[in-house]
Amino acid sequence: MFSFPEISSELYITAAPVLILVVGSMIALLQSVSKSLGSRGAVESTAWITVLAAMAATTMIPTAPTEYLAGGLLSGTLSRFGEVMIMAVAVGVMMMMREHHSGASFFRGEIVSLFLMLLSGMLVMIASDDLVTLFVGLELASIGLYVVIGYTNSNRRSQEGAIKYFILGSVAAAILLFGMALLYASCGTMRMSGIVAALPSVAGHGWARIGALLTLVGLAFKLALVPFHMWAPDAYESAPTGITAFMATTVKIMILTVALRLFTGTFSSMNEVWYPAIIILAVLSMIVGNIMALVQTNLKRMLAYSSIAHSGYMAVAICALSTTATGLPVRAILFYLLSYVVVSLGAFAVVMALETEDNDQLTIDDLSGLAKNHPWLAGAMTVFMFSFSGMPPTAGFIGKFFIFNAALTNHLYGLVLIGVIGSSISLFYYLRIVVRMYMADAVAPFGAVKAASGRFSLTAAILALSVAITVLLGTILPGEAMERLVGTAAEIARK
Amino acid sequence: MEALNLMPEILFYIISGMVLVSSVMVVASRNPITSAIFLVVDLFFVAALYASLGADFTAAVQVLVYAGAIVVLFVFVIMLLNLKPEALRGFRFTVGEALVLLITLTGFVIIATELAHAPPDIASPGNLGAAAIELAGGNTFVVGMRMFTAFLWPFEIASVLILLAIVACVMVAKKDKKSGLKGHIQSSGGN
Repeated sequence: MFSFPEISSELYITAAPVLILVVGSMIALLQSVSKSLGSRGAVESTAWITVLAAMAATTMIPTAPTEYLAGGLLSGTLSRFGEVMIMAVAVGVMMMMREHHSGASFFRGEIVSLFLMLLSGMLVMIASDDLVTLFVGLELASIGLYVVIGYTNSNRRSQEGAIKYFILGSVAAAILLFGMALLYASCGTMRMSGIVAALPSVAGHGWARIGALLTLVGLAFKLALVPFHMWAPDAYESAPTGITAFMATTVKIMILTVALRLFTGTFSSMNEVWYPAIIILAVLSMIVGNIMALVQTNLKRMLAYSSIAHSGYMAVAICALSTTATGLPVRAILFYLLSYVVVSLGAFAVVMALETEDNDQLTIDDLSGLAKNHPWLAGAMTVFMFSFSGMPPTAGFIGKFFIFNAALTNHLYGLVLIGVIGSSISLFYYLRIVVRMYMADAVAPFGAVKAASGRFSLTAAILALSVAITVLLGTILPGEAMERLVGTAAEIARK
Repeated sequence: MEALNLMPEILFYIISGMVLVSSVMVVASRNPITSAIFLVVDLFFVAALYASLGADFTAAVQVLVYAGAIVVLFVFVIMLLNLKPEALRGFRFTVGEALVLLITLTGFVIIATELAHAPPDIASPGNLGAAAIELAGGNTFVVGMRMFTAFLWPFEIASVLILLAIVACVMVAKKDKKSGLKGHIQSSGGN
């Protein structure tokens, strides 16, 4: 009846990133007790060593899909894909934070230890097949995020954003938990692979249907799909920009990984619940996200609404999961996710490079004439805006192409039409930034960047890398990337 | 246990009724201390519900941890903050509130009608059954064994979660020297 988990070296290799992060967070926490050990330099080196070691460990995760610890921990290409991406974002964000004025408040013992713990929660969630583990990982990530958003720079605005996110997020977690409990009651197992196998036989039952619906609502909340998006603009605006970049990308990676595990294979059996619900979510997100982004003047709020719209595009591909013959929707989602993460990180890096201590809420007007003062920054931002709006030759274009292609092969013509309309609306506000940068005169001098142009070497590296990846994924590499994702799609479908 | 087996249904309705009444009182009473006391009553009857299902370990933990420790902490916080009874507000709905109430009620009715059926009859490998639990050494033993075998990983991760919640609470409650802002003590993320 009770079997003790088998301890093997593969288990340790698969769990290594999580273990490294947890140990690192404990060290950072203990450091903050002492004055000399808790100095910025000491804490920062702990953070760097931990994150780089964990990132190296994520690349070692075995690609053979095996389950450890009674399904709590999965190795395989999807786990590795998600974990490597999360750790890469963490490294990128820390590079940006290092040169940003909020770095001093970020590299404190408590904040760094919270950051490392919430990273471990994200990795736990991505690599789990077990709903209990998944929920513990999700809460670890969420509660950590609430505090890091609100208390890195303790001021009223960020605390307000954090409290809003906390309350709505807790409600969402409760809804998700209720849904999971009902799925357990109707499928008799906590394992996602077991639920995927059992759902078709209980699909018509009320318990399974409500459970499936509430689980979807909980996930949609975290993805900020309309109408569950209320927290996103406030939280994005109020958080320090580095944390905003982190949250905008990693939360999507982790929720979409779970969504792929849960929806692939079950989607057609739950068609009458998930299909209409996700179509509504996708349509509303694409329309509301893009239209609300039009009227924003605050740059971070605009990026928040644009991220809602991008979640909508990814939801279109989730709708297409009902037939998984070629694994095309899965690959489309993963490709889109990759391009979105790279481009977002780059766009937020530009925003962070322009922020000063006095003006950390940039408006679109602040970008006027940027091309004259900082042609490289403006050029990078132009590439990112092109990619966000889906113009060739960038990764965003190819990503949208794959998603709409997957939707069209599943005859979702209406969704594709709305997606294209949404994209054309988005062209307006993305290109407005480009126009401001190149064709308007500067209204304000960019003091911080001008004075300290030599200091932004790490940010420049991130920008160069993001631009390179964006362009390469849009020109010569998409075929290669999709080839590499075939294995992942097959691995998800096999379960 | 004998009496519980005699009239399980009547008992269930009595206990659930008390849970509902005390839950409503938690929200409805103006005095925070009264709310906290009703929360104790509420959690106690939930524990009774667990006991009537044969989950005596969960029932004991519910009383010890929630009714005992957590609510006592609530009362402490309320007394330390010296919260006054809420000022009376006219019982008038705004349009927005009425809309929210309507949507919530609709959702509740939909969920309630869907859940009114018996749960799907499906073989559950995780569900051992009362006889097997007795044979294996009782409820507490089985919970402990499962915790350290099948649920070892989430159990260990939960300890990180609790540590994170503690650090988070300290950060939220700590007074910031620079800005002089004080955190919101009630909002500590200790769930």
